[in-house]
Amino acid sequence: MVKKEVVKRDIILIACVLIAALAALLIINLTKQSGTVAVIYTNNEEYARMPLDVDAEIVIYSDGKEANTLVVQNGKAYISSASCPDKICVNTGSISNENEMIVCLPNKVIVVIEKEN
Amino acid sequence: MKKAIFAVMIICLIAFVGCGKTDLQYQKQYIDAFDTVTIIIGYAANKEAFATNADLLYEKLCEYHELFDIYNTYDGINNIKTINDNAGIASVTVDNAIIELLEFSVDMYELTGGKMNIAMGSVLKIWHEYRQNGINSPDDAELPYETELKSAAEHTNIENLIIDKENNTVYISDPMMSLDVGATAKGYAVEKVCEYAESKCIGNISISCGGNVCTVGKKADGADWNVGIVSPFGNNNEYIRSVKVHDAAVVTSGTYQRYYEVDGKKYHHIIDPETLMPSELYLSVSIISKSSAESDALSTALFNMPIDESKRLIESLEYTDAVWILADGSIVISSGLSNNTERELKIQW
Repeated sequence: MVKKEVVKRDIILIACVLIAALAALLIINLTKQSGTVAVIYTNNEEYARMPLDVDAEIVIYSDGKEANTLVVQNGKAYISSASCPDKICVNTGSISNENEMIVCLPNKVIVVIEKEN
Repeated sequence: MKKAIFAVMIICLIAFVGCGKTDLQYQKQYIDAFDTVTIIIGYAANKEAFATNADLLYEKLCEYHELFDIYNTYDGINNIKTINDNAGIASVTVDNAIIELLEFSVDMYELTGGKMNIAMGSVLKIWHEYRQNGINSPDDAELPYETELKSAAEHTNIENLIIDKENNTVYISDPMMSLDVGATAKGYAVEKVCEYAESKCIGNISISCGGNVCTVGKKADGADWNVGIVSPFGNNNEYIRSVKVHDAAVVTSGTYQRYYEVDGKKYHHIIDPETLMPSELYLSVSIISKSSAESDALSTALFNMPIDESKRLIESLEYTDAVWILADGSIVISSGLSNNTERELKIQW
């Protein structure tokens, strides 16, 4: 009889621990900040992080020279002007989905959309 | 009894923590190697661990880039440019990777009836110069003269490439001939990097280097990789089709990758060895096979073949399929491919 009692209490205890763990996981996941950013890389190094929810304009310098201008507007990023001859980066248009990219090969500039934790 | 219960609780907790630590998918991109963008996608416990692995693979890719470079020389390395610079002068001792790449390229020349020829350097060099000039000063863009191309084409006989496998040397016996490994080097290098990844126990990865995608294993959740075929009509983020693959390579040659304009007409970089002009049959050709090197070489060769001939070659090869986007925009797929959904293809092998 005593033994059964112990088992019952232990089960309740286990259940409580499990519920607490679940609740903790939930809280952690719900409070996670998940902003979307346009991350600029020049020469394979991170150059700047531009949150997509803030309209902004940034001039990107690559190898000390004015290379590209990135505009963040209405949750999207695009390159508005560039010093490269081919303008492929400008013609790529705007990006906003995770892992989408704008590449400027001549200036060695990559802009990629990343999710921030 | 109490101890047992305590143990169960601890196991439960560990299981919970363990769940949170499943490897996540990460992506890292680089610019430079093979003058294009390299994207490495893989899995790791955290971003830093993934970056360490990705950097290791990218470094390896850069090593191959230096070996296969035809434009630049590097200290202490004999590369393809060294071989070209010594055409008609001397044989050059090179790394085994160069011997392997060149032998493979000769095999592919034979397989494709010469529709992909690495000995075409003299012709491709002319197009390269005109293209660069055209991109840098669009108003002065010109086409190469036919006479210029034809006289260069007299120095493209692949038999003048002498590979001595035993002594690891390469010699070009025609002083006017030069190698351009643009149709095979990237694919071969990416394949070697994937093999290197496997040797380092880095599995479940996808390496994309300027249109060359090579996958090792599946995605971490066991699903196939979904490799996009870039739309020749949109920007580089738009896909016209995708192919579900694992342990396979998808390589696309497209008119949109490198081109310039003369009098409003686009001239791309894939030059037909017979006409010496950019082939106008397709907008892009994608090859799916188990070898990224083979996919790369075939995508160029098939680009220069009429669709019937192109199809015949693909159907004669095992574990090799193709997606052709014809000049009018229509899409043709080989028999080993089928539609999974409207825009998604799957391979039957």
